Amino acid sequence: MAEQRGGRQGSLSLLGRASSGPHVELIGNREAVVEGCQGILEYDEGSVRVRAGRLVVRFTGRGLKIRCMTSDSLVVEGFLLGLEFLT
Amino acid sequence: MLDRFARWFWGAVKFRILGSPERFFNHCARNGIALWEMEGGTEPGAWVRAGQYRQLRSCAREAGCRLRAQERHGLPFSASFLRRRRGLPAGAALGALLLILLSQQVWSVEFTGLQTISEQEMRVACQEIGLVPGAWKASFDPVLAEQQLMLRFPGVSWLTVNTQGSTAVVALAEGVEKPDMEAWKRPCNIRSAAAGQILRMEVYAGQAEVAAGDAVTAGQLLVSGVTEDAWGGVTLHHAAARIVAETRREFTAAVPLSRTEQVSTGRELVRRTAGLFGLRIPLTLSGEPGASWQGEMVRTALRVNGVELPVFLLTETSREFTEHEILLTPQEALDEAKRQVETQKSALKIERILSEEESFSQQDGMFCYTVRVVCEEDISEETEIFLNSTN
Repeated sequence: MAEQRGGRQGSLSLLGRASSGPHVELIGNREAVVEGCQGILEYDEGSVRVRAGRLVVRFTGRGLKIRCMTSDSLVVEGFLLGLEFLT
Repeated sequence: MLDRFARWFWGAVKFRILGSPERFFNHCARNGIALWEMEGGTEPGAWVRAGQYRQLRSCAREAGCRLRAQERHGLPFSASFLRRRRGLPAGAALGALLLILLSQQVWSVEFTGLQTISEQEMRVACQEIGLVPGAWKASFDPVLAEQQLMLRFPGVSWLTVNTQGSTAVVALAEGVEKPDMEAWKRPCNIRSAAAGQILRMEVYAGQAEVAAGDAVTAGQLLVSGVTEDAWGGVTLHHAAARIVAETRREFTAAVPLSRTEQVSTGRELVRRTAGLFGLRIPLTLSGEPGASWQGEMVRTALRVNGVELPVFLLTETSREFTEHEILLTPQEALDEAKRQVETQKSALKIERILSEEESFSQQDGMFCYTVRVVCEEDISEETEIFLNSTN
């Protein structure tokens, strides 16, 4: 019971931390959903660089494509090979 | 699936970006313009909703790039030819509206199962209860209409009113009148229908009260339905007999030597009226003919695949008649009088005429013809014995 409570506290603290930075969600190596981004810095078939607060998130791969985009989120799809956080 | 339908319905434009696609995409995202299938690299481009394409210009200006539309797809583009022909969509909308409105009404009333009742009688009855072409289907209650029609025609054993599309079908079955099955059981006497002398008798049931050779008067009891046995018991019968007697009959016919007849003047008036969705449009401008005109009406309805449409042509043909006095020759009057006498004879059960004596006279413009016959005639006539039950 105590473990469960501890686990729940842990997940809550994770959310708290996530709210301060970008939320990146990967679905296998085919799709990445980025929430909390401020815009695209670079976009071609081999790499996508996205500004996310103080970080820059870089996706590398083959046939990368931005499926859709709003003011603070986007969906990248393609064959993802790497994810880098640049400062 | 829903996305694809919405994109097709609102229309979509694929465009190419000449310049920096990243900056352009960022501006679009900030301005709330949704793009999809965004492509980067050497030939950057994206898809946008057709209605939002104009808004992209300001984003392109701010991003320092130019746009070039490449593909157009969806309903607004495939239906763009209708912009120059506004009548087509307006007509289609009006047609659809008319179809919806007209399908809410009854446009033809049909009858099935009519035997002795004429269609005209039934049509008039339906008209009285509001079941006419042009009536709103929602305003009439089929169950109530059935009850009203059943009350109007008591001889109908069952009746139903069904609506099939815009057709109201009145289906009915006329009842068969129950025959009088008890008539042969009812006690009765046989009386004489005329005065005469009985030649022969065939008594099938009952007690004979007269015998062959007897002279009888009109109304005399010939065969009694009441029989009494040796112990004084009384039995009632349905008396049946054939009593042939020699009778004398006199038939008279008086025919006027002049009479008035309706003779056509040859003038004919044809009036036509078109019926369209319950409206009657006169096609002839001539007025109502006078009282001396007699007419007939023919209604020709338009039918498609056996279904009567609410379009018909009513042709009313009237002919003028005048009254003419016709004088009959004595021979013509005699022929007419003989026909009347024959009708009188056929009403009796005469078996054989033994002798016949004719006489005629003319007085006060009448031709009188009298025939006196001596004949053999069945004079039996059933008369019911009325019983008062004390139980």
